Amino acid sequence: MPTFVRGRDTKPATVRRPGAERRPRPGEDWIPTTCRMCLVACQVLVQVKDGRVTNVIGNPDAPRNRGRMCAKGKSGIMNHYNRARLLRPMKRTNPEKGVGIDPGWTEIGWDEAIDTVAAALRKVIAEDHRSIYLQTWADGDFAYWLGALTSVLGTPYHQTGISGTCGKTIHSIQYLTAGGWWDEVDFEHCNYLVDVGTQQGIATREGFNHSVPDCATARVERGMKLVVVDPVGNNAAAKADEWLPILPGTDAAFGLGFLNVLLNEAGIYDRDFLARRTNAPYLVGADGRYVRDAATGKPLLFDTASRTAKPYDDPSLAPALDGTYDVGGVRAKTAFQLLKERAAEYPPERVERITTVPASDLRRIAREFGQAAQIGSTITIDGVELPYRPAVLNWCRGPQDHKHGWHHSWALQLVNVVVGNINVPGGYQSRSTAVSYPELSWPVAGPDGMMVPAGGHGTKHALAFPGRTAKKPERLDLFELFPAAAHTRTLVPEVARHPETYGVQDKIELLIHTAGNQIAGGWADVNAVADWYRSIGLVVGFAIEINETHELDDIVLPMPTYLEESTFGTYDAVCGERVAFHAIQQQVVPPPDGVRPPMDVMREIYARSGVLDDVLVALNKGLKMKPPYLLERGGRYSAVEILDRQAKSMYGEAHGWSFFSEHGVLVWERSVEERYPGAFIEGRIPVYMENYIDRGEELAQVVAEMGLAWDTCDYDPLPKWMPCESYEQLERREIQAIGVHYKLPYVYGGQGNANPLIDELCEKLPQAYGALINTRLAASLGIKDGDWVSLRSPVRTTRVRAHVTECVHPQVVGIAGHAGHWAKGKTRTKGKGVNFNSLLPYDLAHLDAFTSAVDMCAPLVITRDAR
Amino acid sequence: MTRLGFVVDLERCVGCMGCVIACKVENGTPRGVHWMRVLEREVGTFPNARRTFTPVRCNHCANPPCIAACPTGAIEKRPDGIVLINDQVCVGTMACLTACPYYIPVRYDGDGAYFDEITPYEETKYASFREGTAQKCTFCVHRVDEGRPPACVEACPADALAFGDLEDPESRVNELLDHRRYFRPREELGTDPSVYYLVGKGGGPLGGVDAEAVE
Repeated sequence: MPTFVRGRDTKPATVRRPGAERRPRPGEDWIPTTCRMCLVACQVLVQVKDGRVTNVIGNPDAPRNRGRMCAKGKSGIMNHYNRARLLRPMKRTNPEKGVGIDPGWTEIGWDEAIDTVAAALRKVIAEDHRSIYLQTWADGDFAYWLGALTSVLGTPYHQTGISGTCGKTIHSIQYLTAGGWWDEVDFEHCNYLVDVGTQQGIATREGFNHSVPDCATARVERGMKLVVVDPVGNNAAAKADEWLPILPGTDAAFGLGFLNVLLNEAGIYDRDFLARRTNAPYLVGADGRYVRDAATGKPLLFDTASRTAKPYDDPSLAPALDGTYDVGGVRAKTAFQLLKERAAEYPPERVERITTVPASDLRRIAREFGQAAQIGSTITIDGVELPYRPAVLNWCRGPQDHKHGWHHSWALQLVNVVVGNINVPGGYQSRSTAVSYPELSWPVAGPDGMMVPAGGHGTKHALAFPGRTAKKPERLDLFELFPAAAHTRTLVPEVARHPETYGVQDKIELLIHTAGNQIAGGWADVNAVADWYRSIGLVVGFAIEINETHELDDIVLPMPTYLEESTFGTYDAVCGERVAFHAIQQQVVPPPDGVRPPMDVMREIYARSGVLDDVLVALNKGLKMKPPYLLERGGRYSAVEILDRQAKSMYGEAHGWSFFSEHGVLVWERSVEERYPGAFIEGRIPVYMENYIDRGEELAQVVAEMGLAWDTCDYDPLPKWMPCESYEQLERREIQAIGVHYKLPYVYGGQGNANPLIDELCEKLPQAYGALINTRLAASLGIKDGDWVSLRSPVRTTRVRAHVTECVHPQVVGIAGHAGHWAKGKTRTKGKGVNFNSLLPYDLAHLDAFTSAVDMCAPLVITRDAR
Repeated sequence: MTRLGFVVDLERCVGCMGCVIACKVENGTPRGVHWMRVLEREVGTFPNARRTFTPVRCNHCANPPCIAACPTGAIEKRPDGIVLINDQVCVGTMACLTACPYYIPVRYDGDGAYFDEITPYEETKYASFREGTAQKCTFCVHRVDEGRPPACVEACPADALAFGDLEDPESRVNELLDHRRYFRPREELGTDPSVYYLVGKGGGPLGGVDAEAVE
């Protein structure tokens, strides 16, 4: 049992905050809850005067943000008091459904709304369990309330991210190499950070309010070097020691070139880590598969002492890391040897031609990085000696969302693996890798000795290792044709357009979604998604305001804002920190008359559909209920009763909902093993994805039997660079630039610019609503700063003001934030800026056949718009 | 004696605008009124180009030109150095803006609310704003008098803002000034501003900010 740290009384030891003194809560009318202006979910204190929300400040007791708040969080009051807010259930009267078409809303009563949905649900139950599709957002309890239906009905269609394109490789690779859900940098110790296609530590990304200050301390007080590799000279580049502009869709070449310098030119890698903790020494035969022990089937390694091959778990092994060996007449190379040979195909001069990053810069940065990793060094923390690797290559959205996105991401992640920085001080940290409280969740050694992530967040996504055997698809998202992908919701609109091509029988008749914006921000070409929505019998959306997605709904149901709703949430910890915590969200002010919590609405729908008792039983699993707090058949529980049972199931009788309601956050200490689990995990990390050989061959057979043209070239155990369509179009000069999206720290996440306080900021900053065009490109096109230009992609032409700048790659157009709204409910921001996603083609040529990612390289033709 | 002042670390600042909105929500400034801003500009040529971020607000000068310029005597300097506009006296001539070398004061003309209809939050907050008066940063005097830091300091995700007594050698602001390179905006004019800007990494080479560009 860990020691509880009562945050109010004791500051967690890792809270590092220079600057002014601060006091705890300044008054009685400040209520602790959680901000929901983005998915990071910082803890806040909300001031209420005479029933009105009048201020919001960060909760100094909370480890996640330590009292800090970003612009978006601060602006949340204006989302809460949004005058365009939906207050009554409505149904459409216009049967014509499409992007920009007025649904002709008419108000209906709750009874009619609930009856309509319940009737559709009864039809699903009676006729076809697989005809329902659920889209929920984040970890809120409502996701479980709605998601419980999928286990009751036994259907696969619960999309838990708003975006069908979210997290295509980042989580897979996290699980695979670090055993956790999400990556952070151990800024407390890191001395060298390379950000590739991400603004980690500067702007956006998870944990803004703790990673930004810790990164600033590392940069300014400890002199951590920051290198930003990005097509856009964004906020991160602004703070970087070096900005290396890169052509989009070339990250794999950059990563392989980096590996080449480390492995082949400089010889910098963690031999001991690679030999003991990875499959680098595993012997691989000519067919690409492990050479296995005839008796046990275990992969063999070459023992340098006895000059014989031994199974991977033989305690007497002194494994050879590189080289070619004869094993019982079979010629075999170590996996590491194969990786070195693959990397050797990417000399920096070749990488320069692909990426535009100068060979001399790549060589210098890779060597500096390797030296900064201090391979072989250790550090003692709380009396425990740990490996010390203070250098990280961090990557995220940029490399991930591409055709061949796996290879971009995998090449970059291997840079971290070869220097042995995974989950150790100074290195690449993963959230929720190893947890001993409030539940035990620790990675274990699985098949072939490889690491398998445990419980915790690990159950939500399908894993790349060992993967699944492909088969003829039955699912609308073709999950069966993606044997190593985390999730494949991206495919649903494609299959809905061409069901006969894939032989999929399922047809969605009822879709229920939470208040996200799947149309404007979820996929790519909005018309593809709209076509799918149009094909569905009844689309029901819970809504705060009528956004672009709701304009395609049949029924919209008003729901509380985050300041009117209570949810229990989940426990969490900031990577490397001494404490873990659980923070709740609670009602600060009641919702307006007529607005009902979605959990109550769904409870009523379940009751009228005859599945409420089944849902309650299913909820016990999702909500992690334990006896004696289990929900029971026939039980009719209030929202607070359920919250109380959740709290007590997790933290015992003393920490029920009333404790959380008063304190907002529970904080406890973590062991060194939980904070830096790298040295305390048994399983090995792959540098060679041997399972991809089988997964690829199985898939090739299935698609051949189906007569489907399907590319299986990505099932390569090692990373390689392959160009995307836009890259080749640029080479052929068919387009003038690749459009990329980048984040501004004040418009991160789905709410984007639509908040009026944020919109007011964006109006004053030319990059927020304009498109970044490099001075040289602009000159060649006769475009001057502030000119209106038209950006034409194969699926959409949009008009935008040019922001002519030096801070973008000359073959790239940079589009910021989450703007370009067209829904009537976006009263303040309709028509401002560009909706980036709708410029992206959505078809098999632009979808990654391995991860199902949409390629985020928008092929653009740019012309000056004289109008 | 106490002299309250700010230290702004240009190397830490990431341009996130957290301070801008923190100020807005704390003080409830109406649409079009910002007491706290972050100036952005671009320096250099590709690929050696970058954006810079410079948080600006009233400098609470020791020799405030605005006080001398104000025809109604509406501007006062407290003993702790905070310069305040008394909106019961101000008639909105904006002579203060003309006199201010930093172009800080703005006039509130009751431009109204953010939506077509005022929200309950705005109704409460705007009650303390008089139309036709000059507006500027107060150093969050209501918080300072309770011993709490200004809202921008509290919120700043980058810990780029420090607030404290410039006369106290032990204060955090002086600790920073002792160890870092710094400048004050347009010091040569003799305004004696109470806001300092730190440049360059701690003791190391100049990092993300072109000091020449902002000096």
